[in-house]
This record gives sequence, structure tokens and C-alpha cells, in this order.
Amino acid sequence: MDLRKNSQSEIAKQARNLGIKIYFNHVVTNTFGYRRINSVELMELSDDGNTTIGNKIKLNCDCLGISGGWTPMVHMHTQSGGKLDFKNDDQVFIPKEIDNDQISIGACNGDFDLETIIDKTVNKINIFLEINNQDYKNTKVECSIEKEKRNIWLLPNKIPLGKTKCFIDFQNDSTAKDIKLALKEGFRSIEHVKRYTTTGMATDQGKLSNMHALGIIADTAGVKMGTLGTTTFRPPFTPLTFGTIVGRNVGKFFEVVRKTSIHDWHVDNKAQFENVGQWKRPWYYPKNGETMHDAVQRESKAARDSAGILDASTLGKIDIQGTDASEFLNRVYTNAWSKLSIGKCRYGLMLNEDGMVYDDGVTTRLAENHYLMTTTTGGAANVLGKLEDYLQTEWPELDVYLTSVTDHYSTASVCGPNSKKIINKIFPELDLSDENFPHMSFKNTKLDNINCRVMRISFTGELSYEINIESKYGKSLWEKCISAGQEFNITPYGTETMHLLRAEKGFIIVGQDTDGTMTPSDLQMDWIVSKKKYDFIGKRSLYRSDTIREDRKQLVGLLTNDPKEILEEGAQIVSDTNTKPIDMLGHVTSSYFSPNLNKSIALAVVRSGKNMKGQKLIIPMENKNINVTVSDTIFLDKENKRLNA
Amino acid sequence: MLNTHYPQITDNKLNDVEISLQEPISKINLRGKSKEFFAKVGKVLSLILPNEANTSSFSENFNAIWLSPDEWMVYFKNDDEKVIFNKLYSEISKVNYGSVTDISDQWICINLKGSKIYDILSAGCSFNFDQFLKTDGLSTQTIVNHIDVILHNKNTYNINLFVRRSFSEHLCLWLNDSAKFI
Repeated sequence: MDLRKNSQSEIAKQARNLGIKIYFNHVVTNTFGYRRINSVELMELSDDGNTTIGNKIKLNCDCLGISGGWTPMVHMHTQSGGKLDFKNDDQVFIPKEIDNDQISIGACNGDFDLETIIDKTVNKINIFLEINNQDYKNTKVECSIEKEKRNIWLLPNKIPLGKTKCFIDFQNDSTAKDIKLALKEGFRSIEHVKRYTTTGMATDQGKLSNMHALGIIADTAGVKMGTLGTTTFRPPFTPLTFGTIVGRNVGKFFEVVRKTSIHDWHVDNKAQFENVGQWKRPWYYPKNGETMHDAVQRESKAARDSAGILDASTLGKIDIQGTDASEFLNRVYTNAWSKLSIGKCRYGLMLNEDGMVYDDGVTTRLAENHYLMTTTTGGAANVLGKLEDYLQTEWPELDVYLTSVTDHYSTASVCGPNSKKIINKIFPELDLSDENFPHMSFKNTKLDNINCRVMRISFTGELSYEINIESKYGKSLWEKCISAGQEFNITPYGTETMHLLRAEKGFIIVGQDTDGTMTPSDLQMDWIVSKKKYDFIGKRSLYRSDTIREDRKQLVGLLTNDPKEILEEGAQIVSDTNTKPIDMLGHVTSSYFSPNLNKSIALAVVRSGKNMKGQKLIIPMENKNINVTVSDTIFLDKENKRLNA
Repeated sequence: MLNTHYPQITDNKLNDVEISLQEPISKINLRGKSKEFFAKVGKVLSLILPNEANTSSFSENFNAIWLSPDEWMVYFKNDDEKVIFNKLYSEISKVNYGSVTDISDQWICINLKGSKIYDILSAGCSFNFDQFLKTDGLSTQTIVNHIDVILHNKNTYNINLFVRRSFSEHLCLWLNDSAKFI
């Protein structure tokens, strides 16, 4: 079928010679079939193309192909800011000449026959490149030229528009009726019609639909084609494979990987790794075919009984300098910082403006106006961004400068009752007495003439030292610690053991025991919120009616009635399984079997949990109910004796 | 004796792209706004810090890259890296003229040379290098293969790329892999 009245083109002649009947001046008015097409209905067009005339002709078929004719590919031109002109003779948009470093030649300029293309190309290139003569001037070619043209944007049909679906955009299923409705409702801008109907917004970016949509809009609005403008022709013009978009980011390049300077040692010592943010962190170090559970039990026991060592290099580190550094920390953290002595460290809790716990870490006062803040591993970049944002937008009056030093320092954390002896072997000249070097303090020292910063801080509840050194020496320092700790059976431990050890002490992990809805009070950490400070981020929100509700979910400890039963993290907690619907009180946030306590322990958030100590609750699981008792969050060494052991 | 370990980055030349590790290089982060700060930096380094965005300045021994209106990275090769740092820290940080932070191990410097280096970078970076490659001394902070980097155009088809140490091995593997396809 061809809606033109005739054609003398070469292809039409060949079709005729082959005995193929061409229905000129006809259009498809209907299709038939269930699940697949089996026939089409044709009708002849009137002279003006506005209606169909004559009898319906039914033709059997198993496929209907549609051609919209040639349309110049103006995408590059419009992408570089060029505008379009409507060429009325050909009913196509062509690039409007622009004073730019580009020319449009060939079909994209609306020239479809070879002779014109060569002729215009030669001329345009001559002008563009300022060439006078070239071999291709006056090239003559003979080719079949299609002269007959006829364009109808919306084919006529006996069936009213509302009763049939004249699809314009085959991907988004928008129809001619949708476009007409948009105009009826007052949309005039082509951009608005596009968005209202979603025409041209599918992955083909209007390749099939835009011209028809523009034509129907022009006809309906009674204006000339193109006067209402065009949308921007966008890539992807030719469909892309996913492979093109992904590029080489496959296999080992699928995800970005961060490694600590000690990574190779961990690999050599058969560590299993855990992804924490983009970091590869040692998870546990299985020995002789140990399961993860066995390895973690062994590592945890060793850390409490003698000595353990953890690669803590991934923690975020921010260097803070400036005369207002103390004031800055006062505003950032919930507790007070002005009176922290030089050489001392303090734990801090950072809130969002909504009063919910955002991050935590230990900050050390290196000098009068110089601090080193540590953040969680996953939160480092966000914390730095947030703090820099506050300095630039909220507190420009503060003289404070932040610099990320996360990668600059490597950190080996040695913990356990023998940690002091190991540190003493590494730094024999350092006075490690409690008087000279108490908990939550640091010392600058040297190892083989290399600067080191030793901090006595603990995330395990054990006597513990963290050694910070420039990363290029990180692996060497680690090996020195392993060597010095050999006689004490120093045991490298990974993040799983670290989680277990801190859970025994009831220390939270932001992001595991918190979920963006926990206030310090919910975490039973009211002690860290200063009542005296004028302000800090999130302070106002802590006194909202909702944040002071007594029945908020609060952090508690859980002990299973069967001490060998380990709860599943994320498991729901209820008090009664008989009432329907079951009232969910909270969920388990952290759960482990503690080899040091020889029982299962868990942390959980439970509604009104603070007042439920000793109360029996139920963890309903798929096959059974597990009975638990609400306990304190600290399971081990409540008196903190081990910190000074 | 403590040994130094740098990321495993093997010098490589492929398809007219030369990738080489440039460590050890000292790097110092400078932040400040006051005229005293600029005066002290000038005195210690004999260098005027660039104040135009994405530019750099250099002297016989030092390169200074603009990072933000009050932040610069100075890098240099020096046998005794701490002498310069200590001097700057004493003259600036200690007297509250600004902040001086040693970031020598925070960033790893990788040199890229060859006519195809921008083809490789463009494979994983949306930055338009048209102007950058034409002007010696320009710098930019951008993202290559999802990784933050600082680029410093030393001269024609010769740039220093600074990447955080933890990302450096991954980025270099990616650069070498990409070099196979240009």
C-alpha cells in the first residue's frame, strides 16, 4: 500500500515487474487477528486525503510493516544547540544554518538523492575548509530519484478517533486521541504536550513518533508545522546495548575496590573479606578449614584472653585545624569539647538536624587548635561533606579547616590483656603506665625514626592501643606488631569478631544498631548529650514531643532462655503471639554467641524497652518461638576493669 | 627497620599510553585565607599560590594546585619531606594563619604520558578535556571510573594524576585495561 497516487521510482517499477500489486492512494484502516495479526483492511484515500472512499479491501497477512519515509537525522545539530527549519516541500525538519564549527551535509540536511548530496557536500566542504578546487567538483551520478511525495500525519478512518486507537508512540502507547486531548486541555507548548502524553519519551526518544505528533499538533492547532517548536532530539538515537553503557566495568571492574595498605598481608594470611562501603575489610581469618563461626569464636577468645590485632585503617579520619576548632566540635557533637586537654581523646556522637544519630567516633586533641576526628568507615565521605557544608553555609564565621587524612594513616589496633606488653616491645621508650598514658589519651612517638601516634582507646572493652602511622609504613608496622605479639599468641581478627567484642560491651555500631530513627536517648546514651551547651546539630529536635515519647523504640540487651540459641539479626520481637494482629515491639539489631560469656547475646530495639528490663519477650521464627529476657545492653565487664587490666 | 610499601602499580606502556608510579612524592594540603597565610607560604616555598580556579603554579621545587578558594595541594620531590612540612606547620598552623596537613600518603601520584591519555580518561570520565589538554598547568578535580582524582596537566600529553591511596590499585588496573581498547 502506498498513500501516494503513483510512483515511477525504480523500486516501484521492479515491484510491478515482479507482479507485486501496489495499492496506490490507499491506507490501512483496520487490522484483524487474535494475539497476532492475520489480515488488514484497506481503503482508498480521497483526493484531499481527509477521508477514505470506496469499498473496504481485506488482505490476509502475517506481518504489517510501516514506513514513515525519510526524516533527516538532525540530532547532532540540535544537541549542539542548533535550531530547525521546516522544509515544506519535503515535509521534514532540516538544520537551520548556524555560525558554528559544524556543517550538516547529506540526508541529515534534507538531501536524499545522491547527486544533490555530492554537489552540496563538495560546496559546503569547500567553504568550510576554505578550499577552492577539489577532485569531486562537478561529479555526475545517475540514480533513481523519488519525486512523488505525499504526507498525511493522521490517516483518515471511518471509525471515530475515540473508538479506535491510533498509536503515535509505539513504546509509550500514546495515541492521536491523547495528543488532541492535550491540546483541548490547553497545552500548547510542544514540551508540555510531550510530557503530558509521554509521546517521544521512551527509549527511542521519539524516533518513531515525534514527526507524527508534531504534525497532528500543527493540524489540530491550525498552525504551520514547526511554528510551535520542536522538542530537542536526543540520544540514544540508535539503541545501545547494555554492554556499551557498562563499558569495561565488568568482572573485577564491576565495583570500585578500596584496599588498606595492609591488604596484601591479609590476603597472604587467608583472610575472608567483607565489603564495607567500597573497602575490602578482613572479615575473619579461618584456620585449617574453620567455619566463620569457629574462626570468630577463636579470634574473640584470643582477644579477651591474650591479644588480638585489627586493621582499623578504614575508619574515616579528618584533620581539623583553626582557632574555632573546639567551638566547631561543640556544635557538631552532642557533648562538650572545650575542656578536652591536649593529648586526650573523647568519644562523640553526631546527630542529624532531626536529632537522630548520624555518626560516631573518637576525636583527639593534638594541639590547642588541632584535632583529629575519626568517623565510621562507611560514613567518612558523607561526614566530611556535611561538616564542610556547615562551615561554608551555616557557620562561615568559624575559623576552621578540614582535611581528609583517611588514606594518609594506617591503623593497627592491638587489644587484650597482653597488649601493653606487645606495645612495650615495639616502643620500649614509651612510658605506658596508667599515670603517664591513661585510657583515652595519645602519645606521639617514633619507630625506627618514623613518626607514630599511639592512642589508648578501645572499641572492645579491653586494654587497647591504636597505632597510627603513614600508610606507606602500614604493612611493615603491622608485621612488627605480629612479630612482637608472637609470644603472646597475638591473633589477627576481622570485622565479625570486632562486632562481637563490642556487642559484649554494648557499644553501638551506627548503621547496624541505628537506622536513622534513633536518638541518643533511644540508645540509652543520654549521658553523652550535654545539658549545658547552648546548641549543637539536632539539639532542638531532641525536645520535640515525638522524640521525648516514652514509648519510642529503645536499645536493650536480649538474653535467650536457651543460652545456646542465637537469634537472627532482623528478627521481630513480640510479647504475645495469641492476640491478632500480633503487636510488633521491635527487632534484633545485633546477635552473636559470645565465647567469653559462653552464651548467646543480642542487642535489639524494643518499644518502651528502657522500662522492660527483666521482662520476657518472644521472637517468633518460622518453626518455633524463641523466648528471651530483656537485659542491660552491657553484657561484659560493667565496671570497665578490663580497660586497665 | 620499617619498610615502605606502595600500591602495586606496575609501570606500563600500551597503545601510546605510558603509566608510571611517581612515588615517593611529598604532598601537603594548605588551607587559609589571610594575607599572613599567603605571605608565609610565599616565604617558605618561594611560590605564589594560584588564585584562579583549576590552575596551578610552580617553582623550581614545588607545584601548587588550586583545590578550592582556600585550599591548595603542594607537591614536590624531596629527600627530607618533613623539613618543609614542619616549617610550614610552625609558620602557619601553630600561629593560626591557616592549616597545614601532611597528605603525602593520602594521595598516590601516577604519571600518564602519550597521545592517547585523554582517550583513556574519557572512557571513564565525563570531564571535557578540550581546554585542559591545550593549556599547560591546568588542574581539575574530577571522577575517573567512579573514583575521585586530581589531574594536573604538566605539559602536552603529560599529566600527573592524584588518586587516594586506597583506590589507586583499582584505578590503575582499570587504566591498563582501558588502554587495551583504544
